[in-house]
Amino acid sequence: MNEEKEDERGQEWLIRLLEQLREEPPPGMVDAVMQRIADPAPATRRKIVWGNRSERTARVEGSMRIRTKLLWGVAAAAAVVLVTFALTGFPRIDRGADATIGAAQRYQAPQMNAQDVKLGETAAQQFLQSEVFDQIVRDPNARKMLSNASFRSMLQDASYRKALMDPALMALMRGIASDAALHKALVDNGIRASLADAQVRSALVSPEIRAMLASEAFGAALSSGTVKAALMHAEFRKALADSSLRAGLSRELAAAFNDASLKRALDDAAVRAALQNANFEVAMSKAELVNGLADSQLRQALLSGTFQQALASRQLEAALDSADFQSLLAARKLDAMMTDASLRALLTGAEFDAALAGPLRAALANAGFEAALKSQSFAQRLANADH
Amino acid sequence: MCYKVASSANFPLTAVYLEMPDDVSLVARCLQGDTAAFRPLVERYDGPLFGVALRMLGNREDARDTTQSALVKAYEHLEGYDVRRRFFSWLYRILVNECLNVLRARRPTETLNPHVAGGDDPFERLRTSEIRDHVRAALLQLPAEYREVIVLRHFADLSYREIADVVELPEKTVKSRLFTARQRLGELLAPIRVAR
Repeated sequence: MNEEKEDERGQEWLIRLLEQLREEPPPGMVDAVMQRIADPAPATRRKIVWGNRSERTARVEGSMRIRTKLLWGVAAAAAVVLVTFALTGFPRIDRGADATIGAAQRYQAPQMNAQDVKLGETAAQQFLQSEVFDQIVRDPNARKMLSNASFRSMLQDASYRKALMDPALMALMRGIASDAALHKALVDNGIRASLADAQVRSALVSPEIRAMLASEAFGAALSSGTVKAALMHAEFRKALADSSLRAGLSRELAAAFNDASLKRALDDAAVRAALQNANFEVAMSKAELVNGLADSQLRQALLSGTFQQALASRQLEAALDSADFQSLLAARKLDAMMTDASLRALLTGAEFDAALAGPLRAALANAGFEAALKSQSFAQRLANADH
Repeated sequence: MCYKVASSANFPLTAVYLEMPDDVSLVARCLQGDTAAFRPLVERYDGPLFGVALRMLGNREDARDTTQSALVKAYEHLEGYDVRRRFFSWLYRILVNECLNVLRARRPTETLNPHVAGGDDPFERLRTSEIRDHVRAALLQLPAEYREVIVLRHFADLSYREIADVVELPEKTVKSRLFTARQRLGELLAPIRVAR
């Protein structure tokens, strides 16, 4: 105690302050506690009574008996309730009780019905789901073509899309897709440019062209090596892109392609050779010549077996190869002559056909005639024939 | 026969043990069914327990109720008392737990009653109340381990040895801790000292 007093030295004022604040317990606390102890709750009394083993055992057994009775009581009550419900039916659970014993009420969106689904134009979707489109997108060249801005703008045209969805055209496209050469031709910039042209598109959607495309003959013609070769030619493509040819195409080409003799002619080796001749390409590129070809009478003349034989002449080929003839073909006057009705009448006349079969053929075979054809003077004369 | 412990530092608990039946024998009698044997224990410790409760709760009514509850609970659980320990240490732990329960149940907005002390002179009551507020505020500023030894020493009137037993620390540690706690409390209450 003295040690504690020594420790408190120097802090006496604080000790006094703390002692001053010391509180006496309220009066009656001891009695209140003793009263609570003397009159405890039954559970409290059991805890604090210190008995012998037999007494404790008796207390435990007593409590167990009470517990058993309680359990039987609860079980009996539950059985009565269950039987009652089974006989009278279980009580209905009204709104408001679902949160307590039922599943939580979650938001449920109504099912979609037919009115909720609104379809727009389905043509594009049909094309996208078609076999053709699948083949196109798998092909790198086709993808390249689709990436072209002009081609894309063309596809945006509803009429063109309608034409594309034509079964015949789809069949044709399938053929094209399976043919490497044609494919290559179609992905060419020139063809793409021509396809992008509004007039070409209008031609494609015209009933005549669609009918032509649907024809078996056109399909057969396309499959021929000659047509393919022609399509491969840049000039031919250039001719196709020409507006006047397209005008002719829209009217006459369908019929021409349907013509069996034309197909035969195109299949002819001599005609193919002529078509592949560079000068012929130059001639074909002339708008007037193209217009002339579109004429049915001239076409008939060209399709005659005699003319084809003439075309097959080696001499004519040599003449066509000559520089003079080339310059002649390049002359504007020849263009005018070719479109001249009288010349076309001459060429389509029976006399000309007979001449081709007889004397003209012999003349073509003649070296002198060949030389004459190649001569400058003949060319000039030919160029001035209509004047 | 009165076993009440005087509320003075000159009359510590240890002195009582020599003159009165010791705690352990009284507990033994209680356990044998002698309820009256618990009265000397209540009279001996209600003061220190009330002092601790008052410092913890700051409210006389709460301190009274909590002290009573702690004593009744101690009686109910006498079987759990370990006779090797001091009885007050055991009582103190029960009381502290009871006080903590009261504090937890208390609403945060509830303020402590500043009028802890009574008195006839209104001016004296006001002055005492002010000092009490200062001391309470200063005690709350102390770390818990310092606050505990101050309360046990100066409001529960325990000796170093008894405090050491309660807080389960060596007596020397209690001694140094109490010294430091008083120093800090003195610094905090320095304005009051000047005013007095």
